[in-house]
Amino acid sequence: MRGEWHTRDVRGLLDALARGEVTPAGLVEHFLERIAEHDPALNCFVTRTADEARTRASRPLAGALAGIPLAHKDIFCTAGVRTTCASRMLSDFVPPYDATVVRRLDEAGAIVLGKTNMDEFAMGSSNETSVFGPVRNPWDLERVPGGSSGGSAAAVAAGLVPAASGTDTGGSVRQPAAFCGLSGLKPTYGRLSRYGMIAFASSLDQAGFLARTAEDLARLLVVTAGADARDATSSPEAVVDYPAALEAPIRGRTIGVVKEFRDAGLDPRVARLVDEALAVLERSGARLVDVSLPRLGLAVPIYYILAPAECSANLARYDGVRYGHRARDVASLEELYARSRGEGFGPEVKRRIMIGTYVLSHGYYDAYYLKAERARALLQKDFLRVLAEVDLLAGPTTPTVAFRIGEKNDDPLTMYLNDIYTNAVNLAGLPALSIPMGFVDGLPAGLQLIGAPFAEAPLLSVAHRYQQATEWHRARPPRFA
Amino acid sequence: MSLSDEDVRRMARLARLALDDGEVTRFGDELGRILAFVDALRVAVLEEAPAALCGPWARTPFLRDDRVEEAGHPELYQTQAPESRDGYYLVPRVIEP
Amino acid sequence: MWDTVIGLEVHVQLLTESKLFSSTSTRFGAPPNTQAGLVDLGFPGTLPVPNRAAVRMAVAFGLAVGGRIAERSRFARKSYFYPDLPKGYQISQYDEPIVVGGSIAIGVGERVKTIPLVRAHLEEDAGKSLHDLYPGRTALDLNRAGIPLLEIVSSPSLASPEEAVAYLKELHTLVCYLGICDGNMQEGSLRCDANVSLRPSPEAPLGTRTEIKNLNSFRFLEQALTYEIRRQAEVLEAGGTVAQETRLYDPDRRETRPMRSKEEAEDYRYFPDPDLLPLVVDETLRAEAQTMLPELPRARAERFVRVYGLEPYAAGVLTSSRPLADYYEAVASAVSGKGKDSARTAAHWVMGDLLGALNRQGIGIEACPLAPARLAALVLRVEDGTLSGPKAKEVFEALWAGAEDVDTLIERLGARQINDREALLELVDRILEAHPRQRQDYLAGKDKLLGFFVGQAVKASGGRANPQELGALFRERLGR
Repeated sequence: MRGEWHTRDVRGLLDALARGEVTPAGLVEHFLERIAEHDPALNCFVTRTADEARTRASRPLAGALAGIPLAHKDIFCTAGVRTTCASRMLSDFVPPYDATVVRRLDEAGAIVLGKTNMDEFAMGSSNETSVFGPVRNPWDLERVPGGSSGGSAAAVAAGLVPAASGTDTGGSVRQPAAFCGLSGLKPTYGRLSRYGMIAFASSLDQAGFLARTAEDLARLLVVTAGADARDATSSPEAVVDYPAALEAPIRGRTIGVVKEFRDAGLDPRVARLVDEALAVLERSGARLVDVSLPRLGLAVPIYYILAPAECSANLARYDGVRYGHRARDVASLEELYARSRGEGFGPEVKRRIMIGTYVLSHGYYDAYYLKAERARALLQKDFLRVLAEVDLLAGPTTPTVAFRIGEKNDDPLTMYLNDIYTNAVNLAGLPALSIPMGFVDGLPAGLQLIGAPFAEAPLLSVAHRYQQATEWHRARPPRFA
Repeated sequence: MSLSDEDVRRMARLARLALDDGEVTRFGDELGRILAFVDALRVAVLEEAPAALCGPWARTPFLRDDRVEEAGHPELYQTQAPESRDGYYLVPRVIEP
Repeated sequence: MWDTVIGLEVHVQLLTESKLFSSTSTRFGAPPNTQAGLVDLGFPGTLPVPNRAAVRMAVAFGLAVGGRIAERSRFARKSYFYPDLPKGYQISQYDEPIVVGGSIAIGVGERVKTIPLVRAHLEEDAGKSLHDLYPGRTALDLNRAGIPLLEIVSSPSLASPEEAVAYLKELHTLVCYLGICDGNMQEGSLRCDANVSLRPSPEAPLGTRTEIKNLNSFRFLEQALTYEIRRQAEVLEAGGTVAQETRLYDPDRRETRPMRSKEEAEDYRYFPDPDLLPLVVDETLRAEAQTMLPELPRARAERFVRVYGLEPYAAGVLTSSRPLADYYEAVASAVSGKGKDSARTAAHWVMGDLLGALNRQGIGIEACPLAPARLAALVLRVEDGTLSGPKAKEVFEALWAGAEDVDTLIERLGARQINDREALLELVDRILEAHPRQRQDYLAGKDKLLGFFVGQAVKASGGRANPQELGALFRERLGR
């Protein structure tokens, strides 16, 4: 008889393991079967680690997540397991070290089933820039799962793993969570170590998780959060017992409804779902307050100066010398550089390196980079001012539900504008999550909640309360039920 | 607005990216449009901002104690190298000035 | 004649155990890439974490030169591609260095000239490219990648090659004194680039400068500058213009040559390194650096003159390195107050016999086998008249070679000076008796013979008789 373990969330699986209804080995086999059966249609996995997972499941495991199968976005370095960033540049790269997030989940007893597909070097919002081809949305195979953590999102949505890691530089956890009907958390900048997480834009990158519920996110966060001596930007801020804080009352919390989130680009059907979700929160006892972030409109331009600038330097290390792709038959060092990089990177990565190089180059630095840094500081100040008055901010995660594969490939700008509600949060370094809030034409839409720095606990708690009052997070794509 | 081929080639040269002619044209057009878009910021009038932050949460960074805790392991690390010999990484000879 | 303007950029390798941003060793001479860790190699996902000791050393330098320590400074990325630069950028400091200003005093002939500093900043070193190891290939050893450097930039206020050398020497002494650099120029611990320009008069605007890279000895610095000044003067006098360029010094041919001109002007695309938050030097760190500060060479030399009554020259020699000054001070403080000239006698012994012995054995003062306390005991026996000059040298040699204490040696060698009047008179009489002709000549006015008598007496005593006393007694016996 085939188990239904893939319909459970992490909490449900931990209960089943604790009661002895299933063993870690049983779970591993079940999810490996799910992957074997469904991944060919979805293209979520870049690398599977079935043998390692079976070996690990056969040994005693301890920790808060003992026996829980997981997948990692292929941007996290895994010792001895190929880590590609979905790029030709790193298609054969086998790191000799684990990312801190990977290590901490190992220490919590989780079992990794494989590495998931993504946009190349996390640059993209649709998972179409991967060298391994696009990932498909389990709710509609003709649509994108979102990006850049598209493989992780589709894998969790389709029940191939109960939870997965992702990274979020401008919305790369929240947007795919919204498109795939999942809960997705991007913690405060510095809450999780970036060590071993391949950099896209260092001042914006933050690890995060995709799961079914806010409660699961709390369980993943509590075992991974905390300072790391290998990341000088990781925060010494004390780690809260997030799962224990979930049941805090929602009554008395104030939620800021951001006026600028309701702009011209927002699909009215998504807007209606936001209103309904806000009404649910209000009925649960939260107080809604209208707030304004007048400079929010600058977020995408700021983002598309700073993120490419940082990426242009971060990706300079891929030069075909110490690791990664090297072009064949090169006569000179200069040719080695230009051709290895020209061949190793895909168009979106090249585009961003070019923009970044431009805005940092002589004569443009002040006009672009410096101005963007200043605007960023002002935007951050705006957020902190508003968050001093309310506990959380709420709005849509994305302007629309999942779009069709290929739909936005002609113009990079339309793709960039898809992240209009998420970019600003990374610029301000704040914690945020996306939770399912309903459907538009059978496709899930996400509610974004944004918190004050290091206020993950109230953020998760409000999301948890919402999920106690709604059923959206329990919906499953019919094809993968 | 489009970036000139010359500008595109100069950026590609600085970034060490080999581009074919088609890419040069395409990037000239796309980069031009992206830069026009971010110009919204360039022309925005901003009040004086606090010193630009390099990370969102400026504070005293973590400083490491001066201890040797790691070594190089060329035999392991160079398994990832396209070309190495006797513990060295190799590249085509650089003509020194 | 031209007015010469020189500024130096000196890269000082900081004496830390581990690298600026990683925990691999900085030890010199390890097999290739055995000290290149994941961070040094720029492996994907690895991050820099600053070394507290390196920051502390930079602050100590800043305090020592009277510079302003930036409460908040920033690391920036300097982007360029070169195979010995693993990340494609060097982490350096750009518009917000850790030390601003300060100055270094140098001796120019009789007077002291103050050279203002522009700044000092922290940065990481690159690896090493070897071009001749394999045919057609450049080999890379990245052990040096990430070693902490303090780049010290002087203002363009050095007026001659001699001043430039004096400045570099002063800087060398200072960083060694501070214990932030081992000063080993052969191993590249201190590397120097020089900017040179000429102008018709000190009032004229600065001329076009050239930069000479990698001058790794005092001699090369002097030779390269001398050559370059003459070259520029010839260009200008022929009505030409000096090209702004980077040049290399060839010590074999004793000339500077332009480096191959770059295809494009460098565009380093500096921006603040987002992996590193602003570097904050708080009170704790400042205090830690303060405690590292020894008394600096100039101040110490002045104190030696004041407290120990040394000649300025001797004080300068004895403070030329911190271990030497420490050694002298240990001896001097043990003997001072126990004799009117004891501290000066101590200086005489340290600079003379002790340095001589160290030189003969080719070892430094750090490895000196003779403890300061033992040398002090010798100095005291000289001061109290127990030892004569020649006997003291004999005792010193024995002291150097063995473990016995000074008084034991004096007894064993029978080196005790004869000061006893009766014994000396007996000796005086014996000598006068043996040399009647010289006695006659002396009495006839040949004063110089007094030295002869004393010499004979000292010789007869086996070097033990006190020559001063002898002189007085001879005069007394001879009645003049």
